[in-house]
Amino acid sequence: MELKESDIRKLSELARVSLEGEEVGLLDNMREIIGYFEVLNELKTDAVEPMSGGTSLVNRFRADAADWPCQGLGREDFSVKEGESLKTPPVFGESNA
Amino acid sequence: MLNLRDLTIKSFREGLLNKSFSTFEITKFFFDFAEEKNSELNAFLSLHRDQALEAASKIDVRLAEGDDPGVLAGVPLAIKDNILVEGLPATAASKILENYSAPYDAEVIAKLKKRGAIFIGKTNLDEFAMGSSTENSAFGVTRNPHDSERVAGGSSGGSAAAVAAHMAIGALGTDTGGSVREPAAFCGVVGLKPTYGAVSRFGAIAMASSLDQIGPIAKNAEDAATLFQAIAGIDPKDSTSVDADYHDLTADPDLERIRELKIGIPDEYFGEGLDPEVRGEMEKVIEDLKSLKINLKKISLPHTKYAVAVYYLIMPAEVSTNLARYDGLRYSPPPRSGRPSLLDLYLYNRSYGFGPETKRRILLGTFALSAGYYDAYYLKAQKARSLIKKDFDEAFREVDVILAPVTPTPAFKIGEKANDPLQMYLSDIFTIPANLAGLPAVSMPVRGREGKLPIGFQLMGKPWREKDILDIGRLYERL
Repeated sequence: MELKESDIRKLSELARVSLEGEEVGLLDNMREIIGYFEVLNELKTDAVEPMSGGTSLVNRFRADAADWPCQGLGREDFSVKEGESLKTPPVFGESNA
Repeated sequence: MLNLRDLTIKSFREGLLNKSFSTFEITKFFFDFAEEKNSELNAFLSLHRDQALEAASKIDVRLAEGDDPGVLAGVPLAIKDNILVEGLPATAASKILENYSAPYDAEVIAKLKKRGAIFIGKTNLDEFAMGSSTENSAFGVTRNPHDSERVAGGSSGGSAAAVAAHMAIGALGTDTGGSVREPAAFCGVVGLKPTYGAVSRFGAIAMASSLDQIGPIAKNAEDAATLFQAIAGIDPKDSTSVDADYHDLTADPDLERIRELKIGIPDEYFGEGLDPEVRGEMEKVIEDLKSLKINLKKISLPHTKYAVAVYYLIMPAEVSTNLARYDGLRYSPPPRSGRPSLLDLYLYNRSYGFGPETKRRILLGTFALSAGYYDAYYLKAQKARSLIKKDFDEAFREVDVILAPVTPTPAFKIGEKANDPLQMYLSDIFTIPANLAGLPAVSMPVRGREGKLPIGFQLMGKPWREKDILDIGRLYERL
């Protein structure tokens, strides 16, 4: 892709960094660097798992299922409930609940 | 007259135990030398004489009482300024942290203190460890002790220069894409990047968390092994740290065991772009290893050419995330007038506090992670990283260690690449793959280069096999 000066301004806004007259220099550098990344298009990676960490250790997640067996556990420990909502007591002062 | 040049951790300990010098005397001696030499090299951003002399006196008292304060008792070390030492500055060579003082010790520092080490000062680096020359430091470039017109390398250039110029016996650096090994090669000292997870990163200022590792810089491979042994190990405060068995790293290397290993020579590291002088030295290293009757074998790591692109997508993405926390309000607020909005304040402070290379990488990372480009760039790079790791997995089925150059050229001139970031990035081609794959790698100075610019060679090992690469390095040093 071909970066424009407006893209640099948008990126600097997203990154919370103001650029004071540095846009033109950065634009040239970033065009060249992003152009270099195109070399990765030579690779076929559809069937490749991404490597997200520094080791091959993987996180163990529960199944991404809606009917997780632990769902709702702990509700009975809350003294005040309002429909589906649970109320926690205030940290300071008296509870109005 | 004491010759600092001859002092290694081992000879220092011998001198201390047989009372050739006291810890206080030698610490003072090191400061007298380092304070003068630093005006020439700018290796240290801060020197801490009072704290060091106080710690040295305590070591002397313990020695006088017949106590052994530890294997590193009194050893003067230099610490990269992105590693926290309680009560000392930790600027990461950035204006945004100019007045920050560490409120606690990094885990590696706590371990070194427990073993009696003395900290001379905090060393220069490229801002937040981003660079290959220390030219990106907000506080001036570090000069190469072998040629003051040339860079010391980076990002741990201050640590490598301090050890090479005998201002400290050893040092700590951090290595995200070669930042320990490249300056070690340029300055003619030994630099070890441990396996990812071998050393706790608690208290190291984060740059790119899936790649960063703290590693030692030393005068020889035995000292590097001693320092690594002191700092390695699992730490509950760093969930990526691992409890691994490294065996006795400081035991005398067993040549017969090493002869049972096989060293791979990857074609891709000896191709186009390698300086003829570096190539010639690599060929001599190969001959030297053959003379030890170590087995060598040609191998291929076919995805090496993608490593720079992969690294310069993944690393800035992590940089832009890690550096989002700096608002510039606490440690070095720039002068301002009026009552700006909070957003304007952030924009202004971060613009004032970060240098050009840091801004470039934050923007690159923001680009790579932004909607519409994430899959095409960041996810693609993560997948290509898997392929690079797979190359190593396959190679390590055939060989135990991989030999390669550390850098395509010897140390370049100050300013030579400063205006061409892509050329600077490409000079990391041989060091980046070990970080992407999480492997241990040591940079060893090629022998016989007295009076010339140093050149380094690199030994990459299987995960947790630091002993293999350090033992080969130690045997090479004896030739």
